Amino acid sequence: MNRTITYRLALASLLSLLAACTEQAKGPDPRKQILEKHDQLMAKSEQAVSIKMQLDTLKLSHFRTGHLITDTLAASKEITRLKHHLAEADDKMEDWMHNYQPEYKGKSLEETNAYFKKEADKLNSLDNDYKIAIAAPNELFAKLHIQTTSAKK
Amino acid sequence: MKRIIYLFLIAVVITACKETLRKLPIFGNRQAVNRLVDEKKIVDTIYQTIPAFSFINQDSITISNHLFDGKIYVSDFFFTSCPSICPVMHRNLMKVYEKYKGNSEVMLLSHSIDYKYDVPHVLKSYATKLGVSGSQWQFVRGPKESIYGLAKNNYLVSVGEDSKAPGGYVHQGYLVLVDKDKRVRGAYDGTKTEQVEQLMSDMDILLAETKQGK
Repeated sequence: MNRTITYRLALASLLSLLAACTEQAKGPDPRKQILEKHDQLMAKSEQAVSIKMQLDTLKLSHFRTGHLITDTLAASKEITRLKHHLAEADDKMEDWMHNYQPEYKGKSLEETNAYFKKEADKLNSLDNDYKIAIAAPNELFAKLHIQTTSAKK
Repeated sequence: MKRIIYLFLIAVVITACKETLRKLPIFGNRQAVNRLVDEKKIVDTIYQTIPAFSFINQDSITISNHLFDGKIYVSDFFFTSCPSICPVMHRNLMKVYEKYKGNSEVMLLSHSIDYKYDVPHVLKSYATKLGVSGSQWQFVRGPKESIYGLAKNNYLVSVGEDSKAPGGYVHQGYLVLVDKDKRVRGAYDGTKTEQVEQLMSDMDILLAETKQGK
């Protein structure tokens, strides 16, 4: 009787150890990580829209005050270029959101892992795009002594 | 024993009175103006209101702010392919829809922030899948700048600047309660059941408030 109990206890311990190891091997949930990253990028998307709106309000007088550009055409081209980069990053984000499959089912473990790894890489690349697209107008605003209206950085 | 019953009844009446007297705050900027009423100079307050807007809805019809005249409504910001906050928020908002379904004084207005993909037929199929029919719950799309501008400058004025949740102000799942005079009277986290319960309780107060003539 005592031996049976000992065997059962040993088996239970072994099973819990195995479960713990499997959990550890699995690592963090890639779906959750992607959602967290997505939510962070949504804040950047909001920031990009705010900056685009602020760029629309820039007038030649701002450039004159900042003694930056006296050529209206050059100023206008610069604003268009900055807005284009912001729109491009936002466009890529919308494409990602539309194509992402949070319920990626019916595939092998390797295929599933590869899919989520690829999507995480896409988000990292998008993060970089946003950083560059947001930094450039912010530099311009700083030169023109204009406070940025975007809520979050 | 009789005394206890009387005391209990008095307490119930006081509680009920308190509930009917409770008023919701009015958010946004306000301005004091002088007015002449019966040749007497009085100071009146002008509150910030939701400005005029015009968007395309799930039925490809252009709707404007006038559709919401004389109604209280709940406004939110979402997009149909949203994998995180929006599904929870709209599942919770369905409870509001079910409760006030058919009430001509109540409407819901969901703004899509994905102008590229959330075209009317996508919005329609999203609404249908959610279980929404008719026109009481409007799903609209408009240029990103218009939607974000309206969200940040008008609807989300009641959302604190100290909010640290990821996703920016617009993508945080807020449900904003607007009164019949188009003033913001509350903002609730649409991902939290207890906040949505609070929203419905506040909607009842707002409906009663307008019946009492404010």
